[in-house]
Amino acid sequence: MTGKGNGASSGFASETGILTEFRAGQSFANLILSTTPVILESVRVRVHDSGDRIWLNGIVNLAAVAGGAPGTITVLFEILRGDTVIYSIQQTASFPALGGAFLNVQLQHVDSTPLADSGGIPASVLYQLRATALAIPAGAAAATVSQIFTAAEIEAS
Amino acid sequence: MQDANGKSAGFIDMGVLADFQVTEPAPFVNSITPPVAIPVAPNFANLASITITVDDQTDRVWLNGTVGFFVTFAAVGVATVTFQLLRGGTVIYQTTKSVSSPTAVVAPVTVFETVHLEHIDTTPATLPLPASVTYTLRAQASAAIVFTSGPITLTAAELEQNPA
Repeated sequence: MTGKGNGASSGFASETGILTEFRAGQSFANLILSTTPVILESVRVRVHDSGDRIWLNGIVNLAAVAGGAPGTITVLFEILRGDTVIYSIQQTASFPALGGAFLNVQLQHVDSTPLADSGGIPASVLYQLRATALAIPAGAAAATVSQIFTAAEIEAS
Repeated sequence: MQDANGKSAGFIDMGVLADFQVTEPAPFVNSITPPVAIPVAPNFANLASITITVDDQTDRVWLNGTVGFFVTFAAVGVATVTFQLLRGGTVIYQTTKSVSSPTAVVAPVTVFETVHLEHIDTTPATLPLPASVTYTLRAQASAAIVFTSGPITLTAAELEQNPA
């Protein structure tokens, strides 16, 4: 349909916002990373419609310090819906002997099936941001500096 | 002028997020097998494409892309990876990331990296409207040692103009 003089499409109903809920978890807690999974942040979203999507974003700032030898620490970051892993990404920190590294990781995922583990609507859905170091060289260590995890409920387009 | 709970009197906030599209070819690390090789110049690897309908000439499109990739080093060195966002065939955003090997490389060493791209397209479409606009996320490496096995996520959010 051709546009009106000001470039707006004619004949379309006024568009309304489809962002209907926003939750965030954030902290400056220094969480030690190890080969045992650590929950960094959690958010809970109340999902009302089967067509809803949940836009999940996370940023983790972390620090790694070396022991007596250069090396790497690779950290696996995961997003869980309940007990189900729905997203994962890995980040390696490289460092010289007796040195360190600061870095950050950003995660982005859209959960298109937020009700997959629920019995019906409305449902209170728990999302968690989790980190696991795949291996840590002797004498080395890694920890978070800060973390933020957000969840935005978006109606069907 | 404010009311008792701090809200501006006489204003009604309306949501401006009008449309949201996502493409996520791979939501997990190590989920693309075999991994996609990121080529060297002059070639690019298209990682994801997304199409969104733009209704108004004043609309903005908020683009966010997240990619996990890895570099396999056989020797000490640096690899540089360029990521681009295109609207149709036009590059509208670019970022570059350098990845260094560990100080000592005894055997092939794999370094995992992540990158996030964010861009607001303030001129997404021209008349006539509505228009379907396609955005593409692609990558190019400085050496043939860069791969992605996921995750790859590209989102596009249509934002109406802000209220006066």
